[in-house]
Amino acid sequence: MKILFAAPDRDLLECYKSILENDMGELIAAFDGAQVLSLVGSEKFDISVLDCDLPRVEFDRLTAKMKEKQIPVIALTNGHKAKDPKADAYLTYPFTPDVIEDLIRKTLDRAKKGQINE
Amino acid sequence: MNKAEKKFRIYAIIVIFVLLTVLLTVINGVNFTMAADDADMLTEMLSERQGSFERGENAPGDFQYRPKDDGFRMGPMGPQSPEMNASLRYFTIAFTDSGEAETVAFNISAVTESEAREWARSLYREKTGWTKGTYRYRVYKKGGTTYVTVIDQGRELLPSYRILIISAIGEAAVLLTGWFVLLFIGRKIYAPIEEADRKQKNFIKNANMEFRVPLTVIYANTELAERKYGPDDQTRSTRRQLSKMNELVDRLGEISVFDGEPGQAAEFPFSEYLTRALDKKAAEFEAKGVSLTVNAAPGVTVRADRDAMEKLIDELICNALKFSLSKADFTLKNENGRVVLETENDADLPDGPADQVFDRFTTLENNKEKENGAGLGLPFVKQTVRAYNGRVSAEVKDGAFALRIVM
Repeated sequence: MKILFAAPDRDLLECYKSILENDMGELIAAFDGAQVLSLVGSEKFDISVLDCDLPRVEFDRLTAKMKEKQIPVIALTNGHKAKDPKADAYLTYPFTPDVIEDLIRKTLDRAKKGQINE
Repeated sequence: MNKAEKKFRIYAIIVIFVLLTVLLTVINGVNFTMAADDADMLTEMLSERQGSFERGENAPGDFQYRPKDDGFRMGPMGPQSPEMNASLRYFTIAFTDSGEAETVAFNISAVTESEAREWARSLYREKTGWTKGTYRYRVYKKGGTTYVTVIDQGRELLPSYRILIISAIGEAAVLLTGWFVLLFIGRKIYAPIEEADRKQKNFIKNANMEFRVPLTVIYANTELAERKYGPDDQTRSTRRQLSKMNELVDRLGEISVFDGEPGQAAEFPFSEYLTRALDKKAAEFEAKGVSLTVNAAPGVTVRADRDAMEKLIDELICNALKFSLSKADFTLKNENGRVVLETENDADLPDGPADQVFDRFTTLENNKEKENGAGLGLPFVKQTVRAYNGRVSAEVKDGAFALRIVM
C-alpha cells in the first residue's frame, strides 16, 4: 500500500512515516499543497491523508485532484474548519496511531466497495 | 455593541430617568401645592370678610389682614399683595337656610351672574377644592348663611403649568442627550474590556488549535518509544498526562465554539434529559460512594439550543461526580414560570459566595479530594445560562457547594 501523507508539521510527518511504514506500507510525505499536486501527478497512491490547512494550495483544489485520480481522502482537521463534503473521512487532531490506522483501513474498504465520494 | 455595554447604558439611563423624575416631581408637586395653599389663603381671607373684600373692618388694600407667618409666599408678590383685592377674579354667592341665593360679590368675566349662582349651588355641599380646572372654591358658614366663594387662579397657575411642561420637555432632552453621552462614554469604558475579552477568546481558540498537532506528535512518539523499548512507567505517565491535555484541548474547543452565538433555540426536554443523564451516571456515583438524590419535576422544558443545554447538564453532573464527597442532590422545578435547577454536593470547601467558579480557569480548593478541574465547565454553564437571559449563582454553605440556575 502507498499512502500520501501531507501535513505542514515535519515532526508529525516524521513520526507517522515511522509508524505507518512499519504497520501499513510505504508513506510518501508532503508538507504543502504544491508538493501534493506534484506527487499526485507523478506517482500512484492508494490513499491520501491531507491536513486541511496545507499551505500554498486550497484544500478544495487538492480534494478535487484526488477525486480526479480516484484516490480516497482522509482530511485532518483541527476541528474549526467546516467539513468539506469532498473528503471521504475526517480525523480531528489530536489522534493516536491506532485511530488513524483503523480509519485508513476502513476508508480503503469503503473505496474498494465503491462507497466513497465521487 | 456588546451586552455589557448595552446593559450599562440602559441602567445608567434608568438611573438618570428616576433621579430626574423624582426631582421634577418634587419641584412641581411643591409648586402646585403652594399654588393651592395661596388660593386657600385668599378664600380664607374672603371667608373672614363674608365673601367680599368690600366687607369687614379693613378697607381694600389694607395690610392688616396679612398673616404674620409669610413663609415662602413672597410677601407682596403673593396672596398678600396690596393689589389683590383689586385684581382677584372671584364671586361669592350666599345661600340662606331656605336655599335662597344672593350674590355677595361678583368680579369675574368667565360666567354670568346667574351661571355663577348655579355653579355655586353645585358646590354647596362641598368644603374646599379645585373646580373647572383652575378655579378654587371654599364653602363656609357665617351665622345662618352658607357662603360659596370661587376664585379664578388661572393666571397664577399658568407659570406652574409652564414649569411642568418645561420640566417634561427638559427631562426628555436630558435623557436623549444622556443616551448619546453614554454611548460615547460606554464605548470608551468598554473598548478595553471588549479588547481583553476578544484577546481571551482568541487565545482560547488559538490554544485549542495550536495544541492539537503537538499532542498528536507526542502521542505518536510515545507509541514509537513503547514499540522500541516497551511500555514503562515513563510512557504510561506520558499517556496519562496526554489524556489530561487532550481533555483540556477538547474543552477549549467546545468553549471557543460556544464563544459565538448560541445555536437555534427549540423546546428542550430538561427533566427528561437530566433524569436520563443522571441514570447513566448513577453507577459511577455509587462506585465513588456518593449518594445521589434526584428531584426532577416531570415535563420541565426550556427553549434553548439542544447541544448547549445537553452540555450544560453534562457539565453539572461531571462536576458533582468529580467533587462530591458523599452526597449529591439535583432538584429541577418550575418556579414563577421559570425553570429552576439546584444542585448541591458536600465538598469540604470554605463557606461563602463561590461566584469565582464562573471565571475561566478558576477552581475552588478542595482539601480532601485535591482533584481540581480545568476551570472551564462552570464558566461554560454560566455563559449558556446568560445567553438565554437566565441567572446562575453559587455558594458554599456548611462545606456544601450549592449552585442555582434560573432560566
